[in-house]
Amino acid sequence: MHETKRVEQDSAPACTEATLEVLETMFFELPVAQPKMQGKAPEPAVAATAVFSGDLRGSLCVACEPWAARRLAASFLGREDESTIAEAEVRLVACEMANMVCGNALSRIEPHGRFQIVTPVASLTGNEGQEWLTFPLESGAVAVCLRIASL
Amino acid sequence: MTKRLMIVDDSPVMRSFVRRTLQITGLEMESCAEAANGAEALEKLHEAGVDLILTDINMPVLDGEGLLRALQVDPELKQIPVVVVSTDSTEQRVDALMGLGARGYVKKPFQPEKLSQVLSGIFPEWASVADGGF
Repeated sequence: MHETKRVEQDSAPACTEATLEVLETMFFELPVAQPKMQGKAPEPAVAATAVFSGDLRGSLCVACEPWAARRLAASFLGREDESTIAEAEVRLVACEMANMVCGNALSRIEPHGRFQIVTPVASLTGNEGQEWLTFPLESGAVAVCLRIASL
Repeated sequence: MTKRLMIVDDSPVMRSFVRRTLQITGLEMESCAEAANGAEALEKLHEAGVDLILTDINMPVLDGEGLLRALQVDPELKQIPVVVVSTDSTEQRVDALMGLGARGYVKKPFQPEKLSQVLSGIFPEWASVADGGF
């Protein structure tokens, strides 16, 4: 347990870098301020969870404030009019973001490791009491929580 | 020269993203088919000609590795170049997929330039388009 906590703390820079790269490259979005750790996810939120196994086991959750989630989905899908985006598409884009941040973070934490990421689901599970890395955007915030269950 | 492409990914929004990125690169496509997994891709590949496959790894039913293995043993399809587009960029995984016959690997997240560069390596006639586009 102690070792698990250490790995989670050590993974914070990798998680930050991974999230920033995904936001900039795939969503053309950069935070308006430095990310900070917070004790809870934004509420309400559009959330997605990616569960992974392999050399490390755990989950990565992404939670976006609704307006930010819609804007990010519009950027990802290349649509200027955010009103044309269905709620289902917003959730699918959140899932894809969780997938990309998870894969990117894991390859930074364990470049020689082997992982299997299960197709993300649009929900927020098992993150009570966890620290969330929160990135303030122009239109809301996106938060990321990496939980490593065991070594 | 126009090419017929196929994007294989279980996420419809990711397929849409890849298709849009291909359009941004300026590479001319005659057609761009889509499949939600490796099994669906194999079914469609037997129905329509494809010059290049872009595939994800983690997919239900038949994943990217399974698709590559199936293509290798199919005399009709084994010549089609495959580029893997995936979040899983650990060294072991990339080596394994290249060993299974993948011709290129694009790690998500990626810039259009990266996709264009990999595709130009497979189709040199696209190199001038890619260079001009960026």
